[in-house]
Amino acid sequence: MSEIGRRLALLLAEPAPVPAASLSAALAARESTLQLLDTLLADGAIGRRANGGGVTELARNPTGVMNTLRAKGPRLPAADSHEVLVTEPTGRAETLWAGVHRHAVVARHEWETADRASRPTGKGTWPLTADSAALAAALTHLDVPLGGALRRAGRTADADLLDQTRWSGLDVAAREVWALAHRGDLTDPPPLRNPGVPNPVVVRSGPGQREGGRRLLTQLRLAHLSPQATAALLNLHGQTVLAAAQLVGTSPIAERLVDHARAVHLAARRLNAAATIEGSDQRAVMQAHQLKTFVEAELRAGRRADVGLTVARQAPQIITAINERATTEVREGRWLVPDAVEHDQPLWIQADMGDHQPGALGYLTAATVGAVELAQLAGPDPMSVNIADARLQPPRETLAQAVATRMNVTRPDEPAARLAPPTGVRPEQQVHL
Amino acid sequence: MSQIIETQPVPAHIARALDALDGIRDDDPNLDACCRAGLAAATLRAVRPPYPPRPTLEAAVPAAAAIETADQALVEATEAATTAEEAVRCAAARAALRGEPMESFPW
Repeated sequence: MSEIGRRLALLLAEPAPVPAASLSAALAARESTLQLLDTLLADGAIGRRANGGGVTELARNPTGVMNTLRAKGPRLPAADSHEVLVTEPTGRAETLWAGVHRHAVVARHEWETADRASRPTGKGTWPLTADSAALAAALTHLDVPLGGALRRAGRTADADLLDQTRWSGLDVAAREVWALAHRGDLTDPPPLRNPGVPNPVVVRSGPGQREGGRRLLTQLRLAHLSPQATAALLNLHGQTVLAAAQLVGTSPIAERLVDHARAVHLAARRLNAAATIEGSDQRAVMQAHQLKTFVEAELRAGRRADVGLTVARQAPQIITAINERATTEVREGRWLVPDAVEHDQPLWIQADMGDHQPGALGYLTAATVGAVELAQLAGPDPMSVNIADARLQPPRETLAQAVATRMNVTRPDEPAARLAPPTGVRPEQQVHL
Repeated sequence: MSQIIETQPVPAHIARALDALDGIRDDDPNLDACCRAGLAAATLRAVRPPYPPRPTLEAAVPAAAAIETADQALVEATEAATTAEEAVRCAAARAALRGEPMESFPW
């Protein structure tokens, strides 16, 4: 929502926010943002609807009135969403509108697919409610230039509908909600979590490499692995690390990377003496394969030492996660080790953390300890992991100023004069008696 | 009383490939080849029910030679495979030996 708010704020500051070329993108953005708010409303994340919309109800239930007014507002046919997403925008306004559309689609998708338990509830929904008020108010103000663009395009009926929303009172209700929300704590809610084990991401770029590394850690935390899948993962990781050592070039980091690859490979070999009869998830292995393929491709192309440094930064976390996964599998009794007792034929018995501990665990711990130095040598990530951790300014903050300047209504000559014509009548349609 | 874990016999050609791969020295200087061999061995062992535990071998074979031996054994293992799963597993292990592992191998 932060990205939607930022772009709407920039559009509100534009002298002509809806040039003819951006009409399709603007309509798509309006619709997708309203759909996002509809979804949040339907899930009870931004309050409920009110039964009425009068001033009394506004005083008693501003959030309900805002939601009702917004939900009752006009919906205009928009261009095919996919078409807007794939079309290269030309001007600045069209780029901004297309960005609003894209982020609204993504935000709605993220909300709908997130683990429901990670959604804010109760008083934790106030920040989201304030954000929705800011977005609703911004859209209302942008409906004015959008109406103008529709009129110029010959869509008079649609333009008339938008003209009416300007005076629907939605912006007033949104202002009340915004003010009410700011009388209490508006700490950002924790980020939404994806349910279950994330699927592997195809790695084709530096950001993809970072995302792949993050997903691999989550996959290792959540999914079961057989000793063979763990050995495969370790060997793929070892090959990735070796390619990274070549990318980095002769240096202490490259030496430590090679040491790490050796330690990882030794641990993998010890997994030959372990087995399982349980199932295994293959997503972590697929993700490790993607990371390896990318780093080796970068090496063949002879470029990007930073890709190698990213491997060095990721390696300690990855080997730690593999070590923890293997330990968990053993602790939960899912792995087998050879029975040391003589039998007619060799037998597997359940592994444990005592006398039947797989030898690989000791090697994994050694590899984990040895990798610590790698991260220190590679230094902090300039793109920072912390891009994900950095706070994005929410709409309730980015739009506050932009919307406030639009709220100023010019005082009419006489107190008896109306600010706007009665509902359903455009200024040029007024009948003067 | 411990549970008897069901196993399946190792086909002769696969056993030969595993003997070669398991025989690579820990300190073999060709670390990339070691990783490829390790991946191939893990691929061959990814079966349900598992193969029985194998005795620890004297590790003394250079990685390049072991890979060559294993690859030849796997050619024969693929031809002698009694199931499609076994043939695919052998092919996947050969791909791993070449450094081109199959991403979608069903672990």
